[in-house]
Amino acid sequence: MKLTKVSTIILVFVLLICFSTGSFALSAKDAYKTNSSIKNIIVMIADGMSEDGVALTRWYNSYDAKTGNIDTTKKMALDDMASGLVRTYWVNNNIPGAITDSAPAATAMSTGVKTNNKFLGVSDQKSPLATILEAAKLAGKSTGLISTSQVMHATPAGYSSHYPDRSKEYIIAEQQVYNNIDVVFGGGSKNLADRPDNENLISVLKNNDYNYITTKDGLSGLTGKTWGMFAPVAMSYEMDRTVNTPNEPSLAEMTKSALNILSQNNKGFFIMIEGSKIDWAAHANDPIGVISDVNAFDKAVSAALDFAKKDGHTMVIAVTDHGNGGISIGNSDTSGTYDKDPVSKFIAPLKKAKLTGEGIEAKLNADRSNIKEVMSNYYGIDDLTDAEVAAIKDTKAGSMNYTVGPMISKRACIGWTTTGHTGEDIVLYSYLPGDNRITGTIDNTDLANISAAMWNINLKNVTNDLYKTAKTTFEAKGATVTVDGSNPENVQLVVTKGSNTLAIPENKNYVILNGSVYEISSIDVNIDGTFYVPTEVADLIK
Amino acid sequence: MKTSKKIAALLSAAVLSLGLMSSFAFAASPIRIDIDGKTITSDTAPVVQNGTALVPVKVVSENLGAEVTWNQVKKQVTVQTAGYRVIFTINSNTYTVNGASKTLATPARIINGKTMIPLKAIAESIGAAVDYNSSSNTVTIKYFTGLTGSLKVSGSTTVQPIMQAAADKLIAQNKGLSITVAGGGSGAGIKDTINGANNVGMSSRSLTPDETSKLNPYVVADDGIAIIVNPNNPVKNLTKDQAAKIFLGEIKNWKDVGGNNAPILVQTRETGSGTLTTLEEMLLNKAKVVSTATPYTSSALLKQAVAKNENAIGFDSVGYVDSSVKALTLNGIVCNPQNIKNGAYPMSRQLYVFTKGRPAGISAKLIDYLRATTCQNEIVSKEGYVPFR
Amino acid sequence: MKGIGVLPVPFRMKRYFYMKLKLNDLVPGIIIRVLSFVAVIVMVFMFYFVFYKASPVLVSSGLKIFTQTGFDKQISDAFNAQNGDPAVTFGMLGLIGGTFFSTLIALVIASVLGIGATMAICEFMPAKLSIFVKAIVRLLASIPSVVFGLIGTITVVPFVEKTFVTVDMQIAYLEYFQMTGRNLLSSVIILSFMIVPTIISLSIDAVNSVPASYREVGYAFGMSHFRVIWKIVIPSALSGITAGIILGAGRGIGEAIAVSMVCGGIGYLPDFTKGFVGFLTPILPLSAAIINKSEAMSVPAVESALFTCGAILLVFSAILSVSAKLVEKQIRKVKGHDE
Repeated sequence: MKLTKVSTIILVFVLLICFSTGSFALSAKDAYKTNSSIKNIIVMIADGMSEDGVALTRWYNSYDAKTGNIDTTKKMALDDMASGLVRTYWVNNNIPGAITDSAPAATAMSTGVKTNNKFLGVSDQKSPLATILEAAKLAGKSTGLISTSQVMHATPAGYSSHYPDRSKEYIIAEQQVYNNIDVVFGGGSKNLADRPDNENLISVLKNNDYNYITTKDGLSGLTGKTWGMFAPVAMSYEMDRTVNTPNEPSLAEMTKSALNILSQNNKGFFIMIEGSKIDWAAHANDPIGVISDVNAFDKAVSAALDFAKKDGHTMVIAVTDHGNGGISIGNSDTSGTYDKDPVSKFIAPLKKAKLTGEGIEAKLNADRSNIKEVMSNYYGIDDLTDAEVAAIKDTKAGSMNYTVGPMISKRACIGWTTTGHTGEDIVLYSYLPGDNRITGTIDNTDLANISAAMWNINLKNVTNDLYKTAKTTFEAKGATVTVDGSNPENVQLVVTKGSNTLAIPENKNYVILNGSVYEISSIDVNIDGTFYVPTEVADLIK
Repeated sequence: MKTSKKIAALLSAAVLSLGLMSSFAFAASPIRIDIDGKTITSDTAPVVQNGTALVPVKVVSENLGAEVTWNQVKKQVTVQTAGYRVIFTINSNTYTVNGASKTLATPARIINGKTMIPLKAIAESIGAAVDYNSSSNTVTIKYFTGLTGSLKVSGSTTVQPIMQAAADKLIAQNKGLSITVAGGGSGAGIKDTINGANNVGMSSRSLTPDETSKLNPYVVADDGIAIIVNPNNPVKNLTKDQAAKIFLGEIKNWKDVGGNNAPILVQTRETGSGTLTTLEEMLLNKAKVVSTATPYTSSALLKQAVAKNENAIGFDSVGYVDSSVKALTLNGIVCNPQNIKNGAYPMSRQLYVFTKGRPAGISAKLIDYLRATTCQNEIVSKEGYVPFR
Repeated sequence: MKGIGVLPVPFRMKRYFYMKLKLNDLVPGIIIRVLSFVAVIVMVFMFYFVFYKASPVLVSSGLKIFTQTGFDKQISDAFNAQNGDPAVTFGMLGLIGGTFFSTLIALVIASVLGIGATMAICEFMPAKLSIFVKAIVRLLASIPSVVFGLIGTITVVPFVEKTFVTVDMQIAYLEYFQMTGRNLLSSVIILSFMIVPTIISLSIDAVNSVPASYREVGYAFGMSHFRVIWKIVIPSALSGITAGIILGAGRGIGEAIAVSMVCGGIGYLPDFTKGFVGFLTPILPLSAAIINKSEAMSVPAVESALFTCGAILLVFSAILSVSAKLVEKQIRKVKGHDE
């Protein structure tokens, strides 16, 4: 008897210790407050935005070019949201990579799983992973996707498609169209109708009761499911937009319109909003492009915050997916002078530019004879050397910012260390109801897991439900499975059991059973010949 | 038993059986469905519930040119015509037409494993005139009859024969209807529709993203572009690469592709031809046909040129190929309907009609007529094209 | 499409005014004057409209129209141009050359044949036969051009190909052009057939109106029949014959359908330095170009280019009309008699 009493006490002690360590572990992870009343999640990604870019933009906004006065109280909408740091590394076959690309970064943030370079929505073993957007859709919420690049570009694609090659934009476009996202705004109409498989995805959208708009006028009074394609590939930088392509909406306008539509759903919504071209400007080492689109992003953040504060059940996350360019206020020229240099040294030269390095290309005439005037009127550089003029003249179409960006950076003492991405931890900006924050240094995968936990969703279970390996599933039921590749642009999986034939066309949201068309609530996916189908398709063969 | 009770029992039995008999009789008298003057036979008989006729979905899709989609999870059936998208939910009293909600007295049901939808509701939603004659127990539906108005159609000369034949049939059964069909080429048809110069346009090439943002296209047939040579030419097959090189002028002599020592005389179409644009897109990767090729203003003239010249090579829509010329196999694949429909033949394409915005009224009816099984099997096949379903 | 060989109306206005003074009724005079005004206005408007529609290309291509070739590729480029592509310059030298050579050579052949036939009909045929033949000739002059085109495709084209084109030549020239029966030579043959009846028709009228007294003078002087024809009849009938030739030229340059079926369809400039091969080059005269390229007219640049072809044709016709009048005046001056 005594032994049993002692052992019981020891057992209880052990159990207590386990529980407490467990709960410690839990609370360490739950450094944020789990708030089950969160209905809507807004994830905003400023692609390739190193933190010095934000500081530079804030100084740019504070500086009055006419008077030279600086208003140090000028704030950005992001400022109050700063709350933590995010690690961005990627992983392939258990080997980590220090500097990530947008594709594995987007996959990590949308699925909670780190993966290989160039992979979208698939693990490093190339099997599809359910994204938080798809999980939200299954839970009956509305979903949205916005980007200023083509929406088939890596970051938005990582939330809405599954393919181990980010360059295959036409495959990504097909999956996105059939994935039934409620609101999609951005560029990329070229991938919808000018395709190798000759399918016209715009008419697919129209036949499925989507509004299809191509100019910003289409945004007013908009209700219901909508795809807005405002450019054949990418949209313009914000600074260039008002001059060169005024029919495009700004990121903030797209954000407001999307939130208007999505908030009609009582169950809530998930939306990913990307300011895509900060990254492109950083690659080109063009500080004007960075400032232009950081400001555009900040205005969109402001619109999202306004919504969240009014709504009271919305979480807003703003991050970048990785650093880019090594942008710094100060370069090798300021090594000896940095402790005396005023803000104007870095900002005044930048203030003279009216268009970004990409935007000025449209102002050059066909034989590039007006370089000096254009650079002076639009890019704020009056003292071009002959070598610089020659370099501009020889620049390939579409790469102008790579030539002129470094020129203005030199004059403004803005430093760059690379034209590629960088591996620093990036800043986490967050807002939860009750003005709460997510703090600490987290992993980019935590963003997906935190969102899923708030909605009581287990992303692994959703993956198992939506992406079963078709061959093993159907063969286990005694069916024969063959791949019909007679039309290489539209491969089908054909499953036969007895008198039943099930044809599964790749990347679509319908299948054909014995000649009748069945629509499904997600998509089937073909990755290099391996088909993945949701449970509702598997159930069609008994 | 007492006599009165006996009588009462007998009486009630009689009343009951009468009632049963009458309901049996009611259910037993078959309901007839007439669509545009033709009595419809289907392997599943229509069912009447609460005075509403329910029919199997196939009746609607096959006879009215609608596309039907099932959703197992949501238990919904979607019926789509050119102008309307109607969604029924099984056992639900609400349904939607183009997104707007409506109510039903009798919902759609699954009876004996078949999905049955309320005939009156679906017919009226897609713009048919429905009438019920109780004495003959006949439901009369007018979908492609009783139409009035006038339509202007223009565009691709490849689609034109299909459109003309369909228009002729429609006009024959609709006295108050006039449809004028003009050619002009795919480019002209697209511009006309965007500018409002026609009601329906025709195109033998797919629309660009910019064009699709303004127009709503519908496939009416599949087509293949055949490479044609003179019947006396010994060459029977070309790889896609060889064919491309020939039309680009890089291969100039038949002996280089297994034929006689003779010059390859390329015959082509004048700029503006949709067939030429499609050939350049599908075979030459948007490069242009060699500049020395002889151009013709119609496919008939091109075909004639190939028929008359032993060393000529040309191209044409499969619908125009006849015994005066020989169609080559491409990559070993024969240019026939099967291979065109499943896309195996390397130069298959789709033929479209389109309207500005969503089609409505008689434009929508014309498009539905073109896509209905009757037109597909009778007109499209007869004109030498491939039904797209 | 018949040829354009109408004298511009302004030259006739004087006569209408003259007529009014002679008529007693005012009303018919006013009506006629109004109608003639309308005719003039329509004429002027037509010129204006064609040049207006042609102006974009006239301005952007300028003199290159007359110095550059490559029209077919330029039409194709203009049709397939995307927004932001540079504007296409059109060079119509090949087309102008095609029109010029085909019409000129056909005219020479048709003139010789026509005048000879006229003499045969008027001077050597028995009266009854010549009435019959004259009727046939007038019939031939009014046959629709497309009939000539059909006949040409079936007979002339294969004939030219069999007689003049060999497989070796085809292979040798394939990198420059396709040598078939559709070329300058076939166009010339067809045009000659079409122009000859016109020339004969008018020449017959002219010859018949030479007063018999002129011939008598010749015979009186002891001239032979041939000398009378050569020295008296032809010079007297010259203005009418010339009118016929110029009308024939007008029909020749305006001839579109028949020529388009046999010309080859590509606007090469025939190169006669290589010898007879120049005649076997495919050509594309201006009027045939308008027909063949019209399917691409939905593009504004192409429409303007085709109107430019039309403008050039209008100018050519105007030149022909004016030169007809000048030749007439010149002949009258030389002759010294009034007509």
